[in-house]
Amino acid sequence: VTIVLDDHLLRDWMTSRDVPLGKAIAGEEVASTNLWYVRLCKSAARATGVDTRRLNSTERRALVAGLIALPGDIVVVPMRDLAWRMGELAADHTGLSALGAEAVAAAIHLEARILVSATDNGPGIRGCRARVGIAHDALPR
Amino acid sequence: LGFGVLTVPVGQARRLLDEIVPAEVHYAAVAEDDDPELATK
Repeated sequence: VTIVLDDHLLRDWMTSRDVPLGKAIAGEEVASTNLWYVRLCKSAARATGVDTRRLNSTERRALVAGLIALPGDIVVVPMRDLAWRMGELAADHTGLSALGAEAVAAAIHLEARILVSATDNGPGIRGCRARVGIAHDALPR
Repeated sequence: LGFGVLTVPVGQARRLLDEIVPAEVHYAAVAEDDDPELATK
């Protein structure tokens, strides 16, 4: 079963790969979504916490872009394959953002389950996935 | 001219990314983002 990670757990998977997260994934295929990845990239593009004073802005951007690039073994379904389903979900479930609709649509497309951080566990996604029968877990962070 | 290669020591990319985007920084950025289509809902 493929596991669709939110941006927080995707960040954790790309950095520390802590034991609870590793156990939750349990060797299954890892996926995320375009919009969760966009949110992570926005944070990376704005981040200033690392000592890169020896780099000019172009070099720094290049470094961050390289570090945030998704490893090839992480699946992201192209938006063109999800757009219609996202539209249907948004039409049928009020209060669902485009990000939430993509998460549920990707899980349906991949026959996957969704795994999110318990710290950022939106009610719209939880409610929608329950109505369409997608498994959804929240990992304490 | 106008071309360069940045290299990161083997095994350091994960640590460097963790420093660039700490978990708490990303949680805060998401909480402050006012784009409704990128909200967790």
